[in-house]
Amino acid sequence: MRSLDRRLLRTAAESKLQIMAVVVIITLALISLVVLTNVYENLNQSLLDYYERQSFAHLFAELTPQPPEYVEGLSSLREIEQAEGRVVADVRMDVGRDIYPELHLVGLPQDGLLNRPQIVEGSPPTRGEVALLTGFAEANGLQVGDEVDLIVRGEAISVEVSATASSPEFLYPVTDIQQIFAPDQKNRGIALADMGFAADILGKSGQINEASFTVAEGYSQQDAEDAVEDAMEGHGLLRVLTRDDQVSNYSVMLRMEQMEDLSHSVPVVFLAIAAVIIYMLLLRMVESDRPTIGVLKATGYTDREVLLHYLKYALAMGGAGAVLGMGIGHLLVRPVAEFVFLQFFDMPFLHVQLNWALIAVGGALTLVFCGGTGLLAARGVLRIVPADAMRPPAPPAGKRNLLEVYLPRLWDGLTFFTRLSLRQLFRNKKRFVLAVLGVAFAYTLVVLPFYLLGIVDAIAFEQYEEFEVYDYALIFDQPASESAISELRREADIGIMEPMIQYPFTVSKGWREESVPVRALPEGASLQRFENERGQRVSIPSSGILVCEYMAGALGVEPGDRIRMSSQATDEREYTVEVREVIRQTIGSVMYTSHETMQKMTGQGDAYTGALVQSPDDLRYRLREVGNIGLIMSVQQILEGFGEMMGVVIALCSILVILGGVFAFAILFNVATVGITERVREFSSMRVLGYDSKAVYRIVLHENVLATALGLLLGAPLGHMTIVAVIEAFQRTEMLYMPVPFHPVSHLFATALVCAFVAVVMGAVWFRIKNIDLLEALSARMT
Amino acid sequence: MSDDILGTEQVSKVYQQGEVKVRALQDVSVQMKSGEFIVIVGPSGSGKSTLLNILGGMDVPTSGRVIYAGRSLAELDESELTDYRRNEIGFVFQLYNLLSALTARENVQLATELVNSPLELDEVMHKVGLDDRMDHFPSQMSGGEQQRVAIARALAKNPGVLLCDEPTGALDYETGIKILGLLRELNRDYGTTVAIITHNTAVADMGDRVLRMRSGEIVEQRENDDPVPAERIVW
Repeated sequence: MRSLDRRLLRTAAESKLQIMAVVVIITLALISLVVLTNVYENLNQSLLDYYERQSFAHLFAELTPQPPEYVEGLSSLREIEQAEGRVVADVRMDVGRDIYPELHLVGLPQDGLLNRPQIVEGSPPTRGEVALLTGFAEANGLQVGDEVDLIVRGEAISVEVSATASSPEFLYPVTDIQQIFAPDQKNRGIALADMGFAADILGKSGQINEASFTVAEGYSQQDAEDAVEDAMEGHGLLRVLTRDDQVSNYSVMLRMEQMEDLSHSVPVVFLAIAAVIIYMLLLRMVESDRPTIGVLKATGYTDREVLLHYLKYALAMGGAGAVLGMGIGHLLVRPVAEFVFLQFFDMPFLHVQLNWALIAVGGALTLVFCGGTGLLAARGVLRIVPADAMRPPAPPAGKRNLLEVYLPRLWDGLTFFTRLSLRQLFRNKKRFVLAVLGVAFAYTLVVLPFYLLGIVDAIAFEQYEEFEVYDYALIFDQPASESAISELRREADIGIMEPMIQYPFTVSKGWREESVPVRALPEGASLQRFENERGQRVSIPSSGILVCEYMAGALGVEPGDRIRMSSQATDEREYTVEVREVIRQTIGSVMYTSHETMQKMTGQGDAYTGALVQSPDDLRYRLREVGNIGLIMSVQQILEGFGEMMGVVIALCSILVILGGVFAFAILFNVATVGITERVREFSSMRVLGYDSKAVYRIVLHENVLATALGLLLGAPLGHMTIVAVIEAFQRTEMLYMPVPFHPVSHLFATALVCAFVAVVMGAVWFRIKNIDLLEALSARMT
Repeated sequence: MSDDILGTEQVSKVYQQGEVKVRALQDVSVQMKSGEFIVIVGPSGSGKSTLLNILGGMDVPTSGRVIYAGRSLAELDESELTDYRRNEIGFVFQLYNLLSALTARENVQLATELVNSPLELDEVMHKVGLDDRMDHFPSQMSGGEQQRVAIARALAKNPGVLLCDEPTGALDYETGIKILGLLRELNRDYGTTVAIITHNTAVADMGDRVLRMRSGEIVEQRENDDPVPAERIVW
């Protein structure tokens, strides 16, 4: 080993804590790169394989009941490869508990081609049988061979569980966007049955009410959607959903996208933080090694050799972190993939194949970040002239600072120590700016997870406690009259009940067009409240429509604009309606209008598709035998689901807070200790003059308090901007529209945490100052 | 005495220190002959170190020329200047400037690894009297021992010229004498040209030639026909 390399190893030991911190961060970066990318790629590939193998449809159409032959004819469209009809309905199941879980019953044709379930145990269902999705069966203790009752329109129909199964349509076991965060497998299940049998028990014998399609080669989902809409317009089409909008696939893809985004961003964030620390470490090293650099150059070492010597520190740290990270990462891929897989998806198989190309990617990333930063920090070596390096560096030119020049009175009023601190700051602006940026960066790192913690809470509780203040939403199998609803209310002894009419509509403005459910409520509706973007209360208008934020953005409309609306419920007649307000809506995208407006458009007077209900009683139990109620959605149940999910979110965000905290601490600690190391001689001189350690400490304290205050002031808007950017980039979709309110509590927590870090760092600085060896610091010229 | 090996012609050096211009050297011309032992004396601020740095290729003159073996250093590009320092010049500093993380042997290796035909490391260590201290770190050695390592480091490259900047400045009298004796011995045994700069006028007596500097100029230059051995110098 060459002498310089030996020196590298030995001097590294002097900064072992910082070096270890850098190596750990790079290790984490590479672990995250290898694990997240491999897990993402493997899950994605397994998912695509599964979809392919089970022929998951590209397009789904909801229809009014139609003969099966009608759909089969659509396969002649050139955009469509295969078309298949089926029967779908929401029923309930008596599983021996007080409450009957809701069951999404899907009747598939025997030997069907599309959305084929995979039987996990048992045999495919025939007449009188159902196959249950594994999660629902397990949550309710049901096994193959069990007899259970389906509750259809208030009647009990006995069926046998023939199988447990998985389905490409329900990998993520939800059927409604409201459940996206918290699938409740105990109370909401999915059952598969023979299509003929399902149609018979649902009273739709010989009919289908849904169709699914695969897209012919050379055509996009959009082409196929347009073709199906054109072909079926006015012939019973309620709405068309592409695979992208199908709830389970949307949920799965949302998680996939999040994982893909994480696999790109997390390693880069880790490496960037490592790069910042390397930069500070090497900058200090080169500065304090001036005499050594002088000796090396005087001895005959070239600039390149000396530069390489310092660069090797960065490369060695990067290399160690990369080897460790990639080694550990590859060991973790399989267990993490299996954990994530089991946690989120109901899929019977998982392929794990390691992507070895990531070694090259990881190596290149590490080289770019560590090598690049090392080069940037060590390039100062080139400027050092050997003769100068042998002399102590000339003191920086002293001149009056801005305060002295422009605010002399204020300057004179400052204490001696404050003036001393300010002079230092003005003289070494680069170091001060670094400290301010360090605090601001640390703040940004910790405020984001605090905000996410707060906002998840906001999503659930704002939507269901502020806006949707009903306890239950009832969806009828068939539209009901006002008198039927009043009778139901009387019989079930329900307090407040507000009938609603909801249909899917096609809404357009100019060239922009969207499919969206439109819900009509009574004008004085009290169970659903609305707020515009400015936070003002809004009520259902007698004419015109309320448009949610996402749709307003997608259609490019604002209050006063007029939009065109049509639906199967209006026999495809188009109406022009005025946008009265843009309202806030976090989960899902719905438009709201009055009964009167809806009835004008549909031409149906006394026909309501559901009702919102406020009742302290458990209606799921009380209404379990009532016919014509397809779905009873309980807000309490949704909130309980959120509560459970909150535990997971809190755990994840806590990890983020801890990680952010570790990084923030590493940055602040490095900035502070580098500052002290650079000024040891200066502080020693002060001590020799007669100042005690406390006085010296007070100067540094002044500087750091000022840097912290400025850093926090800068960090608050920077943090908020980061939050807005992250939310807008990842959490603004038709399904989920996260708000970005200013959340003072998260800023308060972030401020407290950063101040705590600064306090700990200042503690470390105190010990460093207290333990300065005066004689050594002042006399040492040994390099 | 043989031919000129290193010298300056009308060299001046002006430093910009803050807002002040400092004239460190003014029209200095000096010639060093191969194998010569030359002592440059002068008080602080007389320009000795500046002259030495310029002779060693560590600094460049504001005007004038530095000639090594008939070639002007001004003609050399950065890499040739590095080669010059690497192969032709050995430096000894007042405060040793050893690398604290390396042992005595490794500090010397730092130099031997650089050149094609270095002196034998063990021989050089023996010559400077550090056979039994080779694996000690600088912090485990006395000032005299550290300066011996510094001399060994400079010498091991087998340079044409050894430039010594106040080599005894940080040492006690006894040790200082020994170091001067060592430098003289090396000059004699290896034929290496040695230039010592010092503010200690007593040292001048041991030089083959003595230059006296004041305020950036050479005020006296004399040959010494009867150089005094180091051990007879008293200050």
